[in-house]
Amino acid sequence: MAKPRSLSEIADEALMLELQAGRDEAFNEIVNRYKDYSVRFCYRFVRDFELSEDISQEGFIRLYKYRYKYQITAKFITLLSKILMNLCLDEFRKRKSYSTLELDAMPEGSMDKLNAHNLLSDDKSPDPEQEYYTKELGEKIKQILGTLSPRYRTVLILRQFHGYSYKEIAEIMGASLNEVKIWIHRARNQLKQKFNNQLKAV
Amino acid sequence: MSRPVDDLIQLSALLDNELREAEVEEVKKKLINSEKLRREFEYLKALDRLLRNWDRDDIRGIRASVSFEKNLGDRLKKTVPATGAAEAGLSATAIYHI
Repeated sequence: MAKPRSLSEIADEALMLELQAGRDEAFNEIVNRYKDYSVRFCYRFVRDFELSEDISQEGFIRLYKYRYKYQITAKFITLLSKILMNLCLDEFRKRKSYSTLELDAMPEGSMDKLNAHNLLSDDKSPDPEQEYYTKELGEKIKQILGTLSPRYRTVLILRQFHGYSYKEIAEIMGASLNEVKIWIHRARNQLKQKFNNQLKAV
Repeated sequence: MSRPVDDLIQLSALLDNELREAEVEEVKKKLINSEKLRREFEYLKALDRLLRNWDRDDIRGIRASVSFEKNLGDRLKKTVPATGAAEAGLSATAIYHI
């Protein structure tokens, strides 16, 4: 008689079917495989570790509740990402951060250091002063991303940080390829304008 | 003749390697003939690099905490009681605590 396969050898989609069939250990295996991915995925949206853990856990709970409706029509990772993305967007809606967040002024002198060349240079400098301004720049990027609409922020995060293809983004967001292509262009364009406005303001 | 905005959309897609071969050739020709487009493309590449570098540094070390599974198990037991999840949350107490 053939030995039953260990859960660790089973593909994600088959694990969901095992879970559907009542084998709850499959859920543990899924959590074990994807807990780090989920936390990172959410962190890239909210940039807050505790909140990203909280949303990730809620995502797994949704996945568990959803198990009987699961059909192998898309990759498991797409389904999980979609659940997590929707939870992150709910969080944005609760906070309404994208529409109300104002950009704080940079500390005096920051922009002199972070002129257009420095902003966009690939140089890595060990200079502590430069490190300070790099940190400031990180805060600025976070703020600027926070002012983008949820849709533009989402496409940028999925493309720029997660490296998903346009096709994968279209599947996760339930959009057409052409829409994704246009949204990414617009998101970048808005980002560019907001950076330029920051530079001009100083 | 394409609209300027279409050229910019194509530039963004070129940066992401999302164009077909024929489209790549077409955009490359336009880049050769337009300094404005070349500047735009350089800016896009720099912005891309900036975001990637920032994200790479910011995401470093981010992973689920050691209590992630226990907390998830506790939440599951509360939100999905009297199902396999309770025992799966199970897993929460039995396996997750290992």
